[in-house]
Amino acid sequence: MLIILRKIFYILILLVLNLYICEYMSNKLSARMELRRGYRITRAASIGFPIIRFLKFLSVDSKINIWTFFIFFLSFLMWSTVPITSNLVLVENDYSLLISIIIYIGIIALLLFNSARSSSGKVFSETCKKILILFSFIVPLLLSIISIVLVSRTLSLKEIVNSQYKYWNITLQPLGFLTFFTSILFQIKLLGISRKSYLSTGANIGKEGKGLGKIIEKLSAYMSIFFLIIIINILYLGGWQNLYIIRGEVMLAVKFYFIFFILLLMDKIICRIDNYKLLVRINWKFLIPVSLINFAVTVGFFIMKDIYNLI
Amino acid sequence: MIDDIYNRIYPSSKSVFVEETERNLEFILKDKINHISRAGFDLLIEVPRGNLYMVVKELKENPELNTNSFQSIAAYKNDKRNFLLVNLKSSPGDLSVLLKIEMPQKEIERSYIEIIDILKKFYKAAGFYGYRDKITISKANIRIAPGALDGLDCFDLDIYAEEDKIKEAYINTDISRVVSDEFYKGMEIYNLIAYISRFDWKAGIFPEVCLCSAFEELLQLKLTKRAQYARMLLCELYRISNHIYFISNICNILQYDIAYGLCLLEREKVLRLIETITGSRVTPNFIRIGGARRDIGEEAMLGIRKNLPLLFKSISRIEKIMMNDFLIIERLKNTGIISKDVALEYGITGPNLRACGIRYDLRKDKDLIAYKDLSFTVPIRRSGDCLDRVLIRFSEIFQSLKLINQIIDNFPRGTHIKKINLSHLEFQPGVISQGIECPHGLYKIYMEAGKRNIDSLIIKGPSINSLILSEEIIKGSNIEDTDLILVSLDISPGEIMNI
Repeated sequence: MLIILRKIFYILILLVLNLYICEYMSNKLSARMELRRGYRITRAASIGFPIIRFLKFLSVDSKINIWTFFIFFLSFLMWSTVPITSNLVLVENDYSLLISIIIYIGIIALLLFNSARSSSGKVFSETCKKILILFSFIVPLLLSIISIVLVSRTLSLKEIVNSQYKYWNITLQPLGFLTFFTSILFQIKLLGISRKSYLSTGANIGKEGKGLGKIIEKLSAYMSIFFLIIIINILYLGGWQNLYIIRGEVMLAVKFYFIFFILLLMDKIICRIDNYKLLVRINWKFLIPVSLINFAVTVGFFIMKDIYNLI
Repeated sequence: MIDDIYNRIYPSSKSVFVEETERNLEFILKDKINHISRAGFDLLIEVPRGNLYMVVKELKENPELNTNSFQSIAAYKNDKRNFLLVNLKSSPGDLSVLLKIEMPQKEIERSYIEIIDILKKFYKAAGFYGYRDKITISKANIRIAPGALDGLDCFDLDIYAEEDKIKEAYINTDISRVVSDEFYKGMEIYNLIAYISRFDWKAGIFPEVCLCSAFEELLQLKLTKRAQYARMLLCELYRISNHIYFISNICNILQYDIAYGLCLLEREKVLRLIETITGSRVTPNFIRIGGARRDIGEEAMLGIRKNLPLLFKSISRIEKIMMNDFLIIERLKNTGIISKDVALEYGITGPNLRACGIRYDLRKDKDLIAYKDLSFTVPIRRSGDCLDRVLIRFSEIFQSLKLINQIIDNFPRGTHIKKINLSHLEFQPGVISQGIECPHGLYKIYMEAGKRNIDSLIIKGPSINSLILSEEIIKGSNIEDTDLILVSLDISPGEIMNI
């Protein structure tokens, strides 16, 4: 019992620390004109700013519904199955990849439905369009995950990392990595790291008094981004495998921040994409065909080698 | 040589035509009006309330006059009598008319509604000033609260949408009425000059210049060349600052953080240059009647001259970054299109009008300050969408940089700027209307002066017309385009403080 509590404590500490550092980094990167008032530590892009922001949200009158509680619950539940290091996992089972992906999709669905209501409680049909866009970006993600599962022959995240002791999966599945990364980028662009999310611009713009609900939404958006980065680390970049003399945990942290930094930079460089037709074009003409080719090549390879005794 | 050619092209032929029509106007409206006179910038026509319909009909439908553009309505009090001032304009640059209508002492509201109803028959935009059917909150899908959009915290916007198309939009400016109609009463003139720049806080020098030049016209005062050049220099610097701020706002709406940061850095540079001259950034309080608060030193000039090439380089880099990104081009192109006729009908001016393909710039057409000495062309664009409104601002920034270069080269030396003792100022009682080409469009001041004080003062910025027009453009566009369209019209909240 004590061991589980200790593990929960470690995981929470890690998540909160990462959250703080990432929020600080995203503030630091976005150059903004702020009032030059107050202490230096509390200004934008300073170390104390995330705390001040947190307090600012707390001071606003809050409107919380039952769905925000579900989002909060799910965004922490996700980390019970995802191993952060070889030992730091709460529930060990053979289907951890499947379970975590299902929870992730659930979080996104809840986030979308929560932000889709207008101030008078109506749901736009335009919102359905946005939901379709976001979920269509999950299709190439799933296709590339299936290819990885075929390569590693397991659904357990821990075993997938262990199978990469010699080569990282990125060397075997470069196309899969490309589609995975691009689809993550678009999902982050649609969810919004540092700026107002595109998905809620139309509907959520006039809502006043978001308060605690807003913090929970932001927290869960961050959690899903962290989850995606950890998953890409585990699936393609060797997870917590040691690199020569460098310890695996350190390598994981380095890879995590490297990917986060690249995603953040891409987020700043690319402008808001709310052109429905453009997004559909990118998805159906680039991501899904490439991931399908990758999947077909992988399946073809295994059929040729007759590893699963299909022939 | 080149100066002469440019100066000949623009105003000369038009001004001859205007003088003729003005002479004819008195003859055409002879029986229907009380009095007609020239009040500086516009023709002031006193119209009895009963004849308003006929006068407006004549002005609108007579092909010789053709006042097709509605500018503004303002109510004011003078000597316990109530008046209504209606500003109409013919196709750009030709004829500008102020209709002064006396209101009855009793039942002012009823007669106001009657007048608006008459005007509505001829001009669609007049409907904004009357009583309108509000979209009720139960019908509106979205209410965009002030403060949801950066720099546009001056109105509520209720939207009713079906699917993703907006069917109805209603703009309510009640929240922005923070200034009393008679704020100028009991105010000393030097206090007024300091106060007035907040009516356009995005480019604070223009209200000051407009007010001071109105007084100068009233006093029949001629400015020294040095004072004129100082004014032009500051006007152009503020124009650059405002346009960069506009582009940064567009980048902010598009969430294009790189260009957003760069724009703010450049604006900071320009504001610092302004600071070296005026001592302040947003509200300069620099212009005085007959001159300026202080002389511009050699060091400030050198600083500006040094920074001009750097500014040109960095702003052209921003343009390159933005215009090479196909995502931005696709986003801006064909959104919020304003056609020529609609632009004229709603009376928008400035870069928004020039983006629709109409070459109208007060600096050229009316020979403001000393712009006649400088050689420049007025850039225009054709299609009138958001992309054109961005591009025209870029070309105006480059043009302003060139103008500043010319101003510094030809800056007259030696003669000091005149100063007038404002506390003992006396002038002939009279009526004056003055305008200036500010970065948003045509900024206007109408003033009725007594012997020592101002009896009535009306300030009309161009943003009001843009705001009225935005309501029309938003209808039929997509929900996600609303903020982009509103920002692309460059609405300055300061100008809407007193509608």
